[in-house]
Amino acid sequence: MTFDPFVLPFSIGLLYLMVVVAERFRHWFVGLPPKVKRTIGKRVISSHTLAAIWEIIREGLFHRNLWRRNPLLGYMHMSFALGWFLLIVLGNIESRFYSQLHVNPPYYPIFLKFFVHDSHVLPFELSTIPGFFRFTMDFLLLYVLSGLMLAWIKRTRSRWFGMISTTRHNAADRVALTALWLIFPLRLLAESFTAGCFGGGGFLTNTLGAALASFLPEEHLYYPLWWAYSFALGVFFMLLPYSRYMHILAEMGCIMLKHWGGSEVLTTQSYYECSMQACSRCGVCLDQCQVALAGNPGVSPVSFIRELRAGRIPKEIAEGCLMCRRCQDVCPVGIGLINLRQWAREQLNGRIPVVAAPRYSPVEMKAIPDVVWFAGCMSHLSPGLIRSVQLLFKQAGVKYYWLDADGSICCGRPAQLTGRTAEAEALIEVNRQAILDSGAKLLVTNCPICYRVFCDHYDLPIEVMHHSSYFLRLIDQGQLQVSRGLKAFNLHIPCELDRTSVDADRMKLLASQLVENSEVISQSEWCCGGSLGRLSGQDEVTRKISTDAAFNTAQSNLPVVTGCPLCKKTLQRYTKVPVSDIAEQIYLLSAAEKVN
Amino acid sequence: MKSFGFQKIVDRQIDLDKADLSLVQALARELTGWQRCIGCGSCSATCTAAGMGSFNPRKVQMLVRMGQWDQVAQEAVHCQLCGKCRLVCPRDVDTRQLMLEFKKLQTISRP
Ligand code: SF4
Ligand code: SF4
Ligand code: SF4
Ligand code: SF4
Repeated sequence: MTFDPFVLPFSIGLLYLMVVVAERFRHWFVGLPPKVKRTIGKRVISSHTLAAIWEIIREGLFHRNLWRRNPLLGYMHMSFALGWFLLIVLGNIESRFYSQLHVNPPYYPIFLKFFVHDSHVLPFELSTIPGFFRFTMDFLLLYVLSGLMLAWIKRTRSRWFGMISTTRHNAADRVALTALWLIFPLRLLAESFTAGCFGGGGFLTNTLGAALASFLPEEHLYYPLWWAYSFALGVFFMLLPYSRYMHILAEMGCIMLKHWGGSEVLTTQSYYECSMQACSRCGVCLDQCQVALAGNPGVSPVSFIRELRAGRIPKEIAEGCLMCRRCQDVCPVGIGLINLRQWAREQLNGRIPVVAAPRYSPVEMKAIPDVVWFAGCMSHLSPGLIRSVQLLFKQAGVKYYWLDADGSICCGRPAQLTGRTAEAEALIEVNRQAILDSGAKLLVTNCPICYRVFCDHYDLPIEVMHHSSYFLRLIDQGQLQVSRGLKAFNLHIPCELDRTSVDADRMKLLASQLVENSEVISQSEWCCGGSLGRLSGQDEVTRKISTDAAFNTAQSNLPVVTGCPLCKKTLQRYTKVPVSDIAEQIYLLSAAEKVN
Repeated sequence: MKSFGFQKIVDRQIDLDKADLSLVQALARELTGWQRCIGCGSCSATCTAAGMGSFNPRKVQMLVRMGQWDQVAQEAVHCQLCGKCRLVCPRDVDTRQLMLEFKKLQTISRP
């Protein structure tokens, strides 16, 4: 007998899930621009597919990134994903031993223990193939149940996981969560009771079944339990597409899209939709988000994505973010959180933009320079920085052309951050032309905000450098002599320099070359809070963000050195210790070197 | 007239009876902080866009209070959203945020 009515809830749920998910993936694929579709077509049969599969195994099953962030969470997610996956695969292989058919109905391996009672095999017999499977399946079930325990503890005691808070759920999530939590205990009981009545089962189910048989009427209970187990599975599958658990499938979709579609896919509507479904609500971003820490958890990606999934883009959530990248750097799923927020802002603010062409002609250039220098709006508010850079250029004998000597127009990055992309483009076009007209082979800027947009959106044929990288190069090439005269200080890495990039590494290297002893630098990767990414600027939360940032940056009351004029100004407002730009420090040291 | 060093200027009177105060009322509902502006002009002194022409964020602040919706919308187009005004304001007014809202005025129909 290989059918029983109790398999129906499971089978219907599974069928429904497959239809809904197939439709969603089809929708995402159809929505891709033709160019990306062609790229995908070319890459399907190539090493990109292998790379994608490897990443799916690594992140979808083993959750390597999550392990690195938070081992306890990593174990929890892995026990569910890997444990369940192996249960399905091994269950399928095991069922082949008992069925003569080549193709079994999908429910057969899932409910195998109901259909087959193989009491010839002893529970601890590992030498025979069925005995081995029996043991392994029970072991895997135990493994999943251990993860379930942790999940339950996390709900009630999130601090044990080193997390400040855990995530909130909507109705579909809660029902799906309940179903998921019931699936494995029900499976354990159904299999144990069946083993208790008919024999069979592994070390866990057999023992438990035998123990419970002494005082429970198992022969009446085992059949309803199989119904309950099937029902829990069916409910879970039905709700999966509407709950956070869609992330299991969407994450795979994102990984495939990323590998097949290349970088162009990352800014498509389909990828945004897929990646907002791929968020597993792990909550790792919540503890990184300074806006959340300052008392506004609604802004963190996990809450933001929940709103997006519900089809809403609340203004204060889309605009409250600092765009500091701290969340993106830690998100174990690798969601492009900054792009996603940017997209939301374009929906809110970018519609029908009215653009005034910038009234601007740059200062005159005398001769073709080595370096075109763009100080940036914010640097103009920091005359000490400007002067240091000028004097350093002079000392190093660099022929430079100061493009924005008379103030210039904005680089376009701040407008971009508001979602007014067309306005940003207008500014970018004017500046880009001026940069190209200079004929220089290198563009140096003092402002990481400008640096970001020069690198990512100007499409310049020349090299672009932040001044920290440039001065490091000049020192390495011997064009600048700098003494190691600095005492201990706190190095602050500006967000827009991108903490994970080589630019940040170069800045750290430069800092280590300025001090007498490199161990005396502490590093801070806190956003100063003055970020132009946060569109509602000056309220209590912003002040709290900056206060926290200044407190955590200015450790041991040592001076702070940063690489961004906006960070410098903002931090200085919230701390008593002196805050300076790294260029100012280099200038002081090089002047000291000269005197010696 | 020009040869005498005089020039007739355009009439700049504002008829406050015809002021459209719905913008101020809407602002009061949506945003906080802008009322703190004391008209010191620090924002205009540093403004990136002001250096390029006649745009003047302080003036925009005043026009809002005087209910000159059309002028506000026309002026705000020139703001480059650079945020210098926000950094220098002694009264912690986020002028950039206001400008962003005003930029959208031309696309939003009046109540
Ligand atoms: S955005 Fe990333 S880090 Fe945040 S909850 Fe989702 S998966 Fe986790
Ligand atoms: S970019 Fe920064 S402020 Fe925005 S959600 Fe991420 S961590 Fe929070
Ligand atoms: S700097 Fe601030 S207080 Fe002064 S005019 Fe501008 S907005 Fe008003
Ligand atoms: S954000 Fe606009 S108003 Fe403020 S300084 Fe920049 S250009 Fe001027």
